[in-house]
Amino acid sequence: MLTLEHLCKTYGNSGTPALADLDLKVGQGELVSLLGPSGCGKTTALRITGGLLEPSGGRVLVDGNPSSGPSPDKAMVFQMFNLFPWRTAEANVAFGLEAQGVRKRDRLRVARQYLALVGLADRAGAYPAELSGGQNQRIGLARALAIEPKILLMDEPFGSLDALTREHLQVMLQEICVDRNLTILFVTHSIDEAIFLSDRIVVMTTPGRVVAQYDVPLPRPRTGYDWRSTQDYIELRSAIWARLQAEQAKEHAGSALT
Amino acid sequence: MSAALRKPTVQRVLSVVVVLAAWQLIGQHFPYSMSSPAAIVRGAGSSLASRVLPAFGQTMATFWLGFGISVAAGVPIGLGMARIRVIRVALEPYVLMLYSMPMLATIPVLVIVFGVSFPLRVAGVVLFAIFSVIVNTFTGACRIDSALEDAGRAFLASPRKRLTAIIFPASLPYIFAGIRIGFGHGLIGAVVIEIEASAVGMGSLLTQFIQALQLGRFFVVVIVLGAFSIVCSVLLRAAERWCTQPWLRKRRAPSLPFSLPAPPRVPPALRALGRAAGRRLAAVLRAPAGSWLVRAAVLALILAGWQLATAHLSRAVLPTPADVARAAYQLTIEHHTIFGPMLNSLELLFAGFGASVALGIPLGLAMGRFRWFENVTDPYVSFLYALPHVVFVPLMVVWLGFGFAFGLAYVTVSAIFPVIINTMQGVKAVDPEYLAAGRSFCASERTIVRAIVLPAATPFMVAGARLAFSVSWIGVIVSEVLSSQTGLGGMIDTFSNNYQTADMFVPVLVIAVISVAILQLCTRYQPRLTPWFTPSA
Repeated sequence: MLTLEHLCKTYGNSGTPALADLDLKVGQGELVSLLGPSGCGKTTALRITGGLLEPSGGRVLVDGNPSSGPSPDKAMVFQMFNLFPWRTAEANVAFGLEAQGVRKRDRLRVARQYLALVGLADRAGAYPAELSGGQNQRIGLARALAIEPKILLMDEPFGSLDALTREHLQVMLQEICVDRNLTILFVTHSIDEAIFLSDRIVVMTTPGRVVAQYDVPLPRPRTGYDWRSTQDYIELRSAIWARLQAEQAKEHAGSALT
Repeated sequence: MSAALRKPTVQRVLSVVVVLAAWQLIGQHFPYSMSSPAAIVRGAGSSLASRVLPAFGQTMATFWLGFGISVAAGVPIGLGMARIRVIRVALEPYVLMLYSMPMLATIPVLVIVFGVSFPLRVAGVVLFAIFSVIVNTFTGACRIDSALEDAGRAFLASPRKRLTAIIFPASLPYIFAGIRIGFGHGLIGAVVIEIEASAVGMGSLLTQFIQALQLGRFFVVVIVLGAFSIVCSVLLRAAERWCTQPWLRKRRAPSLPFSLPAPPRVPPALRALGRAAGRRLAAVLRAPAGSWLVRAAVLALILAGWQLATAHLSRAVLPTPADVARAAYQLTIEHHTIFGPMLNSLELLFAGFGASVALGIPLGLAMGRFRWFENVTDPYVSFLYALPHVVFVPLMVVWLGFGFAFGLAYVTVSAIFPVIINTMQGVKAVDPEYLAAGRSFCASERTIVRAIVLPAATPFMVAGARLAFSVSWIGVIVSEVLSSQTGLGGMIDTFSNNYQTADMFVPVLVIAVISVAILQLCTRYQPRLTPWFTPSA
């Protein structure tokens, strides 16, 4: 479905790459998380996939076809929402369709459907400044879903929300997207979030390398039971945690030597 | 070739060369209305040392004294207004009125009181410069995050310590903005008073050279003043950076719509007094009736002082408040003589404002969106914006005479730059994340401009238009006073020449009322144009 081949990225003339030879395959309907400390290149990888950044090397394939630049089969959800403050919730959700030239009445109808899907049907006329962070990110999600993409690219979408809202939105995302068989690439730095949402977790480290991949064996849907008390969860979490610690220790040792 | 053309320096240099060449050609054909660069160089050779520099010295003496007084007095007054409620309640109406009022309207009054002298010129510079310092300081000090002051209080900082260690540094960006604006206004003031009412300095040189049709020399004066204000604005910015750079990491809060913030509910300075009298005063002031009481008392004090002052002066110099009231009654209700000129002034205001918005917004959009266009036009826009534009008045009179065309041209020239600069800044300040969101949904360039750049820049454009509206009104009065033909400004000039001082106060008051009305209208309706823009968010 989605393939990243040998992606490299170096910003400006700096010697250190933000992304070094990243290879990744995401299958149809799979939710893959990129997990790693800040600055490890996961956002860079996502932005290249979304076509907002040019890779210095390598390429992105969708269904086997090269895909550079933004395209309607990929939709992004941003960390800071990036909603347009001068548009109402409804007009924000309709933006993607507007950019594709869909007629006003049709796109507003679709926008209202998706607002209802994220539970904000009654706030269609509100401006982002009048809504909470959680509500804004639901609008961001609705805006991405409204263009009916095959692939959803999510850049730490819940990173700036408080813990309770965050958990609520994770459940909502799981219900909405996993049921629709969407392919999702999800960037996060939270181990728990990655485990709860993902089919597979890709652990990255500075500078922009994949160090390990883990399949998440917890059965879906993960909402009906206390997944945090399962043995699978506990083992997976400690394995990932140990891996991240080891990488960090290596990095510190490296920086101490140089 | 095309690669070289894409370099900013090449674009700038080319643009300057082309413009100078065109100017030289046109100037050779119309030596008595345009002058050419070569003639300017000759004019500089023959008059720079002997006439322009001495006049520049005179102007500088006036300007720096007045500007220094404005900063030294304006900052404490602004801080006082923000911190101490009595001062705010007492001064706010007058400060706002004088801030928005075309100061030139008061010059004839000052001429009669002070005579044509050095004190007059300094007083004029202060009047032009001080209110933007006060208002910006006041606004800044009111906008400071109250959490900062709470932190100070939690560590037991005294009110004085909080003022010097928290409020003052936190309002520095605003204070600097006020000083920069005050600098421009003060320089305009210094020149305009010299044009209108004196025989010294750069202003009078401008008039003399134009009357002698020595346009080359005229432009030498213009260029010296322009160079001076550009050098000073660079220095002011450097000083500002040096003071605030270390802690203001990113771009400063855009100098957006100046709107008056709500006052702190309980004035901290008053609470700190902690004395019974202070507390009672605070209680009185907090009630609306109390504020009006203080305002009425201040008004009574002013009127009483005025009445007392007239006792020692001739009626022709300073009329009593009663004289002015009688004159106002006659001009408005009895003879209706004031309404014709008032309509003339308003007509000019709307024509000039409309022209500057209609021309300025497209120019600003193009400058913000296209790099090459900015590189090509930026040298002139910066120079003309930095220049006190009154210097062009004598030249415009030669070109256009003393009619409506002159007024329209002057108002447009004075009001267009705030529109251009604000629009350009707005376009450039669009958050790149919004553009990224737009691109990720495959929006075309047209959609991005229409749906993202334009709305994102709207608050800036509205702020620019609003500034232009106030500046247009000032331009209207300045052009009328200087051309002494029509409108309220012309009325002031006529009355002042006939020593009808009581009558003269009436158009001044009408101008003040219209200024306040403009300010109020803008403050009230600006938010409606951009409903999504909540300053608190």
